[in-house]
Amino acid sequence: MERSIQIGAPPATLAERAALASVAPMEVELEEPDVDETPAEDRPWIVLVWNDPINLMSYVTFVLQKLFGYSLEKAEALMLDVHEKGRAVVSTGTKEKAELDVFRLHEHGLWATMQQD
Amino acid sequence: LLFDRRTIAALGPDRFAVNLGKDERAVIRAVCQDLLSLLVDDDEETPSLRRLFPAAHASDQGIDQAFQEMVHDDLLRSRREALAAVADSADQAELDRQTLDRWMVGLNSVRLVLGTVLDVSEDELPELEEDDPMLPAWAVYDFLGGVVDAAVRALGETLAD
Repeated sequence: MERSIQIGAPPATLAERAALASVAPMEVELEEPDVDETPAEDRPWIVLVWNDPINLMSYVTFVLQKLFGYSLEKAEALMLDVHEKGRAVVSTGTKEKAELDVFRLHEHGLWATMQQD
Repeated sequence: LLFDRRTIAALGPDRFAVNLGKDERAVIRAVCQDLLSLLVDDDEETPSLRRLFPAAHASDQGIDQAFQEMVHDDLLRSRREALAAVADSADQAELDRQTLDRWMVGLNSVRLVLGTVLDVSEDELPELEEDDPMLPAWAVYDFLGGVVDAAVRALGETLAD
């Protein structure tokens, strides 16, 4: 499901896109295409959150709930992955969506990066 | 117990009581004003602020530079707005949801800078002597962690499904 802000007028600044996205957080698309048959530019991007010693575990969990609309259980599981394994994939999608997600995670002080799957 | 004396208590989904003393509120305002004064145009060059502008593309500096140029002003504006909102509301007995969210995010950004200066690691907190010059910074770092955690709990309890 596409976010409505990706339709119609080109998105303005990331901050404006972030403000729009925060109004209606939704679950990310988890369906993955067959990588072998997909051109490089169409392969999905993944957004990773990395472990850091400063952000509180409760804070990381809440930010994942707030930004992505995840349940407490799902957000806690992702936070524990970050804490114990050093990183976790928190969202996937187009390059534009990944950029927006990284921006919002950075806005909240989480250490996030994006890369093509 | 008749009264909820938690640091931040939800009175409703958009109303939160802040149970902090005058001195604690003064600290909150001061740290936000301090960070605001550091967040100027050449902030990328300040080592203690690096956690506020993290790399988005870990393996490609060129692509990351382009990303940083695209987001930097938005990120800076957003941080400044949050910190200013906290400083402006530091004395309020009650906060609405949006303002409490800004407390959570703004005070967390102060922790990121303090934690960078203190070189916080996953290890046990260091044993500090009473006259250690970093003791006040550790005390503020610890105090802000408590406030951020209290804000998270109050906001989390009242999160809409």
